[in-house]
Amino acid sequence: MLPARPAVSPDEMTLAPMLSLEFTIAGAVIAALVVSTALPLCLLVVARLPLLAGRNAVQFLVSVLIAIVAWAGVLLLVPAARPTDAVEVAIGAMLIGSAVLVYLEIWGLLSRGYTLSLIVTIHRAGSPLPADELARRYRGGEGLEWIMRHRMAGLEAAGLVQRTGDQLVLTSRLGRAAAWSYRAAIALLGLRMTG
Amino acid sequence: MSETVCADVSFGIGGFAFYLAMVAIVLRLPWAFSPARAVIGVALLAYAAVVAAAAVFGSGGNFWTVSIVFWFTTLLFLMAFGAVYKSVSLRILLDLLGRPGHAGLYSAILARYVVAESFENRLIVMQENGFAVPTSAGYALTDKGRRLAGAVGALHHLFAIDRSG
Repeated sequence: MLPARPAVSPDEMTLAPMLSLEFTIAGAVIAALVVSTALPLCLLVVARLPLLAGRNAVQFLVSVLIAIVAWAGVLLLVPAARPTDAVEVAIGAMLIGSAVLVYLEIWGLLSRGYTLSLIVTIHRAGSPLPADELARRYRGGEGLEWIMRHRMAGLEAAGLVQRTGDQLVLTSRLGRAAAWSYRAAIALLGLRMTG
Repeated sequence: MSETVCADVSFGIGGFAFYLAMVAIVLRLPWAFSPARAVIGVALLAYAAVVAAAAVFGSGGNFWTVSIVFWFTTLLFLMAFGAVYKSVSLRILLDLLGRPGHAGLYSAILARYVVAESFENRLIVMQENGFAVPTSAGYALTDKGRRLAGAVGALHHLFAIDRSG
């Protein structure tokens, strides 16, 4: 009598556990996914609030805070989304964090993108613009000087530089630490050119 | 934390470490790829490798957990990379660091970083990407540039962004 043939060949037995990925997704993470997807809609509403008009960074921050509060509310109030352990909360938070980073990049390009703004400036002019005219019309006529004022204000507010007369001076601690860190990052990454 | 979740998180973080190592190598190669494109391309390749590794070497690991941990850490890096690669503000700090007394003339910095390098770099970027071409009358948008400007204008209108830049 022949021995009974195994239901799974030895090859299949070794291959089966080799390719194993679980695709189930926890309720808390699904809730995070839904909230992340809805974040642009929230931003759409927040951006139209008269109180926050023109304050793009604040609009984004408020939208993110609303999304986080909404997610926390869903976790507390919807039984199917209630997390079973802290890991589900951490994974959900990372998912929202990832979405926020992607949206932030897009929002930053839309509201602060230098190259995009130049393209929009030429488009609005309706005819070719010489470089000096393009520079003058930049940001609705504020010109390139605006960038410098804006950047300097940011650097000064962060305590990285200070102005003394017509000089711009790196602050002794924070400014130098940031500059050194930047130099180290360029060396670590092997970047040959920035900007 | 269960063993499986621990393994998933390890795969995600290990994948990110692998990605960093790949970036450090790729950016030192004498290729013509722009660094921005290289870091994104390497991220996608590293992600495919991580998922494959989790499927082969993990025991029933969760695809979503591995993916979320990998992408969260990778996106944090990409944000920081973007700042290092493109930030005019950081370049100004580095410039000041190399000057006597860590100080420089405000007007000279404006001329160098905002007008000469930053602005002119953007004009080159517009041309290299086929968004604009120099003509005798000045910079003119190409069809591609007009489509992009139209899309950006629509998004500006949608999100009530009056001024950008």
